[in-house]
Amino acid sequence: MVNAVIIDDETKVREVLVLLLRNYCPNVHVIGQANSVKTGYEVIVKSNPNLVLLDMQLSDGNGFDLLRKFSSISFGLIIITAYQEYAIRAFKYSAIDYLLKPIDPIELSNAIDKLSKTSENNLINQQFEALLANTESKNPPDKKIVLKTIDEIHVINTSEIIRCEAHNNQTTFIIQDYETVTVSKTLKEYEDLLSEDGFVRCHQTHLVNKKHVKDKNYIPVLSFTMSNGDIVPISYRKKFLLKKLA
Amino acid sequence: MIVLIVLLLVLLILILFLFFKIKKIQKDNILLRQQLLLSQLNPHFVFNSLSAIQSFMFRSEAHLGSKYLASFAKLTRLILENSRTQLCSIEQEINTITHYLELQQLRFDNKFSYKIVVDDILDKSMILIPPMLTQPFIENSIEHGFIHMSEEGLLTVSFKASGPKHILIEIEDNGIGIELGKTQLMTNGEKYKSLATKITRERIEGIRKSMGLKVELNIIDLSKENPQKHGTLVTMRIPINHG
Repeated sequence: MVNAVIIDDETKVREVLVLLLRNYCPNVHVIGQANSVKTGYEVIVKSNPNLVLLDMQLSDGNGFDLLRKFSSISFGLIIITAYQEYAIRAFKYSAIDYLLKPIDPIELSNAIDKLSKTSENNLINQQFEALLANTESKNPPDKKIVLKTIDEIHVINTSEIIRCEAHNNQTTFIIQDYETVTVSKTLKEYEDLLSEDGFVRCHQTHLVNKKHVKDKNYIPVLSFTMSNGDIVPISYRKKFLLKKLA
Repeated sequence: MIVLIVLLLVLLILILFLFFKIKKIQKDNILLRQQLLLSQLNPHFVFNSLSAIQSFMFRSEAHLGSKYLASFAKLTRLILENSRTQLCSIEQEINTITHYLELQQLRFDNKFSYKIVVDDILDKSMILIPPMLTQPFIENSIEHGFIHMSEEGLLTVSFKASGPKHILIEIEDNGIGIELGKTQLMTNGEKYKSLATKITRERIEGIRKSMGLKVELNIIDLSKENPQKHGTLVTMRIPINHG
């Protein structure tokens, strides 16, 4: 049994969430509801839920304001939002699940299934810490990204990622002084996310961190030499990158 | 000869100057229209309204659900139509506002009621006004004015004649008032700047430039006039255009 708390400032959205959970996630039991940062905090502290469904826009602040009141969390977290570009990016970096309104029942039950599989608290807290670190200031010096594999969680500084490589629908991360990590998300998703951290797609299957490009080669093929000595091919369409980088 | 060349050059510069000025006005207008469309189809309003409609489906209240869905579709259609024209009739404006208010009532669980009042002497179908000038202020009344109130809010939108050549639109609420509303929205000590006011002022400026229509906007916190009262009154005085 999962004990859940719903925090959303719109009465109708709370209502629909209760009904969705009843219909699609019978193992979830709603033990509390709130509509603001203040009441949300009180409900969580009082009822100690395993799962919090949190809307980003609350009547007296936003979801981050509520999360910042905790130093660590003991519950799974699913974010609900109508639309908030900035916030969604922050959650993508932390690999925390979010749902867009109106809520798709299947996405909701998938998110809850996934959470119950990785219910270990210290894993959730690593994601949570990365989220708080990334949102403390507008431009944190060391932006962190959470890489979630089937049974592990890696919190990595984006500046330490040398390059990413695609294998089918998986992405492998080659990281400075760290093991290689493979995540089952497409390279495209990481390209979108990491483009603002100085990552460039130079090839259909390669994404490189500009900071780690050390040299360029023309022979035998157009390629970059990375800081760890890896050679990364550049597709002909992207040859303008040769001038821009390295 | 030299005089002629200089004259030609001056003329050329003048023509170029005017050309770029017109281009800029056109560009500003497009930007303004996009901004307006976005402010009226505010994503929070759109997706939370759809969520509210979703709640009827799960409670098997198909009739209510489809009523609001139709309202949502009508509003979207009117907003899209309005984004293509610079003027609409008072009648169409009232139609748009009504759908908008119905959906907001649904979202906010009837926390407020509303009245739309039109002077009998105004010809609703013939008098034209810039569409949805009122919407950003109505949104403010509902989302900021009423939200922290325990009693029911009342919103009144009135269309009045003001002299022989002007129409006066008033948006009055009995909410917490714009001054208190602003302080509640302060984030980290930074003073809140009303987006509604900013967008509307820019739009009024655009309307003046492109149509030569001068709209006078006034925002009054009712507690300033009478400490016993609370709420906000927004007035807009617009020269009448007749269709």
